[in-house]
Amino acid sequence: MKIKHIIISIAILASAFGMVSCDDFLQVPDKSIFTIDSVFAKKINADKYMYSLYQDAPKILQNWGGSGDIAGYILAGASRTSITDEAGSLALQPAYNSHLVNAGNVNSTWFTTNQGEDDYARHWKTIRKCYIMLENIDNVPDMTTELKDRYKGEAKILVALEYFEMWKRYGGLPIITKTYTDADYPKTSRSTLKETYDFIISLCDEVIANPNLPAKTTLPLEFGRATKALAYGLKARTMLYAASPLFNSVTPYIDFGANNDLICFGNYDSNRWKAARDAALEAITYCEANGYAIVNDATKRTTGRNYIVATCKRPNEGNTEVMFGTTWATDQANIAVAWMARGRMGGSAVNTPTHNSVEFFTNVDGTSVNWNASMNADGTAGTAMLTPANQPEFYYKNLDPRFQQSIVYNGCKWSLTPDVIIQFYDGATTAVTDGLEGPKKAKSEFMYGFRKYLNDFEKSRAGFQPMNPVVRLAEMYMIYAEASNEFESAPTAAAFDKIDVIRTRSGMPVVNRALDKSQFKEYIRAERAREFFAEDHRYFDLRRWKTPQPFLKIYNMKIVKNADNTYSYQKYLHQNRYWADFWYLHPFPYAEVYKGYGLIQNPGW
Amino acid sequence: MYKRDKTSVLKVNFQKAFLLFCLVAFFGLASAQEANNVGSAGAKVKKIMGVISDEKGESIIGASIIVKGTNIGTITDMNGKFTLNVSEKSTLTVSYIGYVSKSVLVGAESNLKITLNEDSKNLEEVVVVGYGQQKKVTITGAVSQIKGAELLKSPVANLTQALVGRTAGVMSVQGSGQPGADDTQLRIRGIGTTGTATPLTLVDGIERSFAQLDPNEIESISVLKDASSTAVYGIRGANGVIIVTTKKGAEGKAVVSYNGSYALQSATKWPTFLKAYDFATVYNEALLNDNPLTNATFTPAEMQKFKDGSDPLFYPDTDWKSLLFNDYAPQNQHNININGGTKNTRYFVSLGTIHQEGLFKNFLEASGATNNNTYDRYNFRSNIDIDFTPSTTVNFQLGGYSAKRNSTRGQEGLASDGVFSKLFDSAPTATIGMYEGKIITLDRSGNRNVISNLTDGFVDYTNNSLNINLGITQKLDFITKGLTARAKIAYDNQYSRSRDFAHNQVTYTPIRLAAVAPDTIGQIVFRPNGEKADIIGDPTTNFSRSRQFYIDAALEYNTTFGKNNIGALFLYNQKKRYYHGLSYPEIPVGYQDFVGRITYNYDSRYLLEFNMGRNGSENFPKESRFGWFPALSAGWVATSEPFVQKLIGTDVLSYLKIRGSYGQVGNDQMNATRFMYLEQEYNAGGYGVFGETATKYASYIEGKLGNPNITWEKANKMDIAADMKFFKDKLSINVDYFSEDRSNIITTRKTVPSYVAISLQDGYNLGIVQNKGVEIEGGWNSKVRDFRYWINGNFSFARNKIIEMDETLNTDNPQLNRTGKSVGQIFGFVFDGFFNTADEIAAAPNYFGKKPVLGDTKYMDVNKDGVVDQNDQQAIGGPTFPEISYGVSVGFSYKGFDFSTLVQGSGNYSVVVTDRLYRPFAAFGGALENTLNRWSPANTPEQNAQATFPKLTVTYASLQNYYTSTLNTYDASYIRLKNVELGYTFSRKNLSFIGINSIRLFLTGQNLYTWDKLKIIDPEGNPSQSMKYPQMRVYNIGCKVQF
Repeated sequence: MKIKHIIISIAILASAFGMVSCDDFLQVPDKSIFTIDSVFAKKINADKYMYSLYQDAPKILQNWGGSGDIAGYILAGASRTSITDEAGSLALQPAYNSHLVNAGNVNSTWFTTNQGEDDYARHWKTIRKCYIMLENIDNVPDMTTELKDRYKGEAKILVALEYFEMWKRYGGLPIITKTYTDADYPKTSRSTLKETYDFIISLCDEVIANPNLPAKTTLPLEFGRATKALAYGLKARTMLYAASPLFNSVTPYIDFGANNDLICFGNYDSNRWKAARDAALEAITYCEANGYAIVNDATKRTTGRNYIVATCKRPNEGNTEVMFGTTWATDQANIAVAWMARGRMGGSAVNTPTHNSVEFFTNVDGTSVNWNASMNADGTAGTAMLTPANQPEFYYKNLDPRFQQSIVYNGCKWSLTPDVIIQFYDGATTAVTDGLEGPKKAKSEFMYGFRKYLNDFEKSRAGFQPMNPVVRLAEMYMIYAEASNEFESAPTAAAFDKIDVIRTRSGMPVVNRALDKSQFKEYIRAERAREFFAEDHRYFDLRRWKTPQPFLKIYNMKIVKNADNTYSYQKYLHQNRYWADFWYLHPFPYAEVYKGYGLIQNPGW
Repeated sequence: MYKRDKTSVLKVNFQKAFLLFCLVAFFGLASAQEANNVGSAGAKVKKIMGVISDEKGESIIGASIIVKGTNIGTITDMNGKFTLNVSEKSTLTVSYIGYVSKSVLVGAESNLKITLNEDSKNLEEVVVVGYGQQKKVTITGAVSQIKGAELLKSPVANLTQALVGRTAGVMSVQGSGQPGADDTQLRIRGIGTTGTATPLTLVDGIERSFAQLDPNEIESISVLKDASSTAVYGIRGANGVIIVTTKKGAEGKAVVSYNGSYALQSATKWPTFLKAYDFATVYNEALLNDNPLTNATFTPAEMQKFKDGSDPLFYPDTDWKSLLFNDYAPQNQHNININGGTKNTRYFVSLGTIHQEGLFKNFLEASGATNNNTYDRYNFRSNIDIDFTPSTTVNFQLGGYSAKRNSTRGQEGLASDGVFSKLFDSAPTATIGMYEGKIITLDRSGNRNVISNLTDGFVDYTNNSLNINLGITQKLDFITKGLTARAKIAYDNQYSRSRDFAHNQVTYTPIRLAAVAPDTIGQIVFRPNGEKADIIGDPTTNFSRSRQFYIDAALEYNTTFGKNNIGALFLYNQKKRYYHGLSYPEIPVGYQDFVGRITYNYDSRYLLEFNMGRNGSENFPKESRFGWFPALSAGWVATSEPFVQKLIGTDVLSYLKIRGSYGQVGNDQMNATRFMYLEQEYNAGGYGVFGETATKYASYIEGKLGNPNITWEKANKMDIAADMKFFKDKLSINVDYFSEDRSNIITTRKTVPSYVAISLQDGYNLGIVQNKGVEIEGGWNSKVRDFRYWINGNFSFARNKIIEMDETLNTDNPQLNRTGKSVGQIFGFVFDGFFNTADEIAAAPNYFGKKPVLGDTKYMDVNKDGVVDQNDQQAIGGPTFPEISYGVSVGFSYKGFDFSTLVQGSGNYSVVVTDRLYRPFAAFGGALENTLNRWSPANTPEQNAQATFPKLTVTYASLQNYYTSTLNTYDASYIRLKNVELGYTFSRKNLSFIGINSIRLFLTGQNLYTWDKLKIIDPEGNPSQSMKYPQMRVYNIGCKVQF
């Protein structure tokens, strides 16, 4: 009796588990998934894969309010220009992380994620994509060897570009030459600064030797793809950085003991300047032999139009100078918002030019406006500079055409139709009338606004398609002049000539040949500030020159409209910013250092 | 053959006759002993009438009266009355669930008055467990059960809220009180994983959400906590299981109940904002703190205008909270249900509705729409049991609801877009809000106006849910006695739709034209901004649908021989859920389970139980989808031992059960990511942009790496407990100790270098977490004459610890390691005052790469390396989910009155006040009261020594002053007067003339008072910019009528 019950119970239980699971009830997705082999099984797929290499290509203008697929979204919407003396972000909006950099509160957790200046991990993602391309493109059956070579060239130069972008920020890096999975990756610590440099240069040289990479994109729809011109340009730029004081030195910016070679070369070698000069000349020679030219329409010099075409326009709009330009999607009206003062075009004053950047520029006759006359020695607003009645633009109207195309100021014309005059001033009365930009409050951090990148979109942001001028021929001229001047004992005519080309095409006078080596050095540096205004050079130029002082004191202009319709201009110290010497190189992300594979953090962080 | 058969029939008949004879003889003897009178065939039949009532004199409906030894019987009607034709001197057995059965001898009396006593031992009390029911006394697992009546005490629309504080082992946080979107986050025995910790919830045996059920439909909610009770759910059981059982019909006359109530809701707590003048003062101070060179924004003349309100259009002092919200919002609820049945068919039919309004004022009235939150839900249920044959029961359950809710557009978007964060975005000085029917914006504050965020439209949601269960139970006594087979089919259908209606709006900026004459005020004109039409456009509509098929079949066997009770269960089930919008939409989510259970007890004294699940989840590779999940439990009812009874005496210790369980259960979930073992394909995704006319070129990107080794989380759970009753069951105490070791936790990898740059699969089995705790439940239940009273309490404590989580241990700064800490541990700095003097600054170490300045927040150099930086963080405060939760309910009933109250609390957890609540002025936003007690250069040193808020800033460039630290980490513990109920029941006697059986009137209150330490917002709210709709305090009046 008892046994029977137990048997029944156990039989019931046993039957539960004796049953084999009906295998096919729990379904499995189709195994025929689209793998790497599928991608490289057809040219049409491989082409699509190639496009992904450019997803995170360098961008200069940032997207404000970033949507997920926009690469280059850094500093929580502010642009790199706002962490230099070129510009600042609206103080009343704390979301812009440029404030943190300017006040000296930077930490590695956010500085090298998309909240800070650089998204460290994103560089490696692009590099991985490039290696996948390099490792698999030979498998594509329906593609010519020439085209495969071209794609390889593009992938390689993009690896070099990403490495350069990291190298200039972090110094020596882990050198990775193939793809890994999470199961087979080696623990790779940092190579030295020199090894990393050599790696970048060797990649550039391999690409230069590639016969199937074109010098220039031939089809209009290919604009934005890497060409051999980028390889030449990147090589010259890398060599310029290698020759500059930050790296070309016996001792680094901060003693790092046994790890000094991660952050400097460990010796000074003037031949690095020579190499940079020669590379720049090679780049110029190669580019000019292959259809590139400095934009220099003699009829458009004084209007600054040449400059605008060279910096913001695409080849079909006459830009013969851009060696590598990148773009966002079709309509980026929200980027325009970030570059405009509040009140115009829906502007958000994410980036507004400082008075410092106004002072980069001289009058067209080479003289300078003595702005300091309106400021007291302690930085407070001093004796006002008065304009004639109804001439708010008085002090600005003769400045460099490049200034006129880059910065808007009180009294300048924004657009012709409708006839809008920019008005930045505190009125004689508190009355605010329609059509005015109104007092400064909550409008704009500085009494200036950007015009660069917004040209031709004054009436409407619709259709705004900014081009990011990543490398252009003018830079090769500037590199030549700078490297040559550093290498030679005295400025050479060739170096002067190079600068003259840049100035002449923008309606500015040629360089005074009487300048000595050190005067010319300063001149070139100032010319870079002008020519590359808000093109993402300034932050890294001041680091490589080891001259961070310009970052520290930021000036603004107090403008009052008087009852007699004259305007008072007073320069004043607006802000003290911060710099620490350990900022010469970026920190690696905190979490990365603690992954335990031997990544050495840069000193001071 | 025939002959033999005949013989056997005869034989059987003979056996039957013999048995019958024995029975008759036995009962005869028994009755003879009792009454000294054996009913004889020739006795006179007469009609008797009777009324059956309880000790309080309330009549009992549906009590059964059976003539002993026969199958003649009846049940009482709704007045507790019955009539029966019986022979004199027969014995009636009167019984009713929950009462001690009584034998009554029929004498000469034709009118019987029978009183039944409540059965306090309630040995028959059953508890719903996985795939079945068990007697409470023989349960060896850790299961708590909450009765439907208790849930009805809470006047809330969301059933998850009604659970809070009612039982041990359930911890909760309710982050939002938004009508229709106010689920409470429930965790059983705390958190045992770094991954997904959500418990499995079932309604009538099928995986379903129960939040939107009508509490009037609920019979009970069981919470399964240990391995023994959850092993049958195996691969899904590790986070505990909540089983909701709906009401079933009971044999008897139809009882119609109506339950209705009306309530007013108000917020438990609003943050307090600064008024315009105070705001302007601190704003100016913040600007100067940031940049001493700046000119303060507000001039003294402007400040005066904010203060005296002389120019409110241009210098407003706007209280956004009052402008946007009402203080009270109504809610009403109705339910009507019918319960009854014949012997063969029993039914429960219920129809309920709830209407809940939100606190928003409506700014869309002109368009005939509303931006307010509203929630309307209609619940229906029909549960029918039919006995087709004496051994076949069919059970048909149909339930569902149709719900519609409305909300503002911002509320449903990103947290940062929510209206509640916009409340922080708008300064009191920003704009007057509305003026002459126009939405006003001023340049001063970035042209912001929260009303714009409210009135830019609304979203309406429809959510329909239909659940069908069809079950059949067949007794297989003809095979062997005690064998039952059952099977169930269930079909669920869920449909939801959201419609997003954008409302274009025109805002106006007032402009005061220059005065035409001195000492006059200029004319005001309104400049419209934009050229939008003031209309509600066509909606953007989104749908979501799902359907689920479930089928199970089971064999069950229960038998008794001697004092041995044995039970066995085998069940198979499978489920598929089709859900559009899923990844791999072509493949429904599937589960397949084999379940087994053996229970054995001897004399209900020695208890043994074995549960086992063999479950398969699609989340794992095909060849390793199925796992075994066994659990063993045992119990000993000590008070059933004669020696124990002798030793202690049943007067003191009336019941003592010691039980324990050990087993393994699993968890297959990781944020609903599917097929993590599969290498993901190269997806269309991302793009390159090329061309002289910029054009997007769609591209392929590499998918995630597969993890072919992925498997379920394994939870080894142990539970040791004692259930005790003292003083004739007046006092009961249950104590559980539990521990859980969860390994193979599915978590993300954190140590792969960036340069590998591969997209890793979300889930790897990397973590180990330990979770331990104690639960205590106690009750005192007694009466003094008519005054019945009780006190019930529960207390739960659960603490977890991360043993392993793919973290590279930081040896330089070991205090930064999360390993060894609790899941959700807060890390931050240790606040050490503010820098008050130049001396302190001179002595200060390097602060985040800088020298500090006066007023900066000072943190401790925790790692003593002479530099204060991010390496000086450590674990501060508690975890972010409560480790302690408790509830105490006290109640009494006296004559018609009943009263109960629930005090509930959570402890040992912390919350960081952050974002807009800790950083005023964000994006032209306002400031909270907490900013007034700031460190300020204008303060005296004494005042600054008392400061509790850092130096103010507008840019937040001195970000380190606002880091998470002990300064802004608050103890989130609270005690709440969760629920109070006062009722009065009119006795039947006074009502029967109008055909009403009973009426109960009641007043209830929910969340009436809270004692907490946070004080800024409700302690369960999230004090950040993602702060949600506040929790609701509810004042409710209602009645329940039975016909």
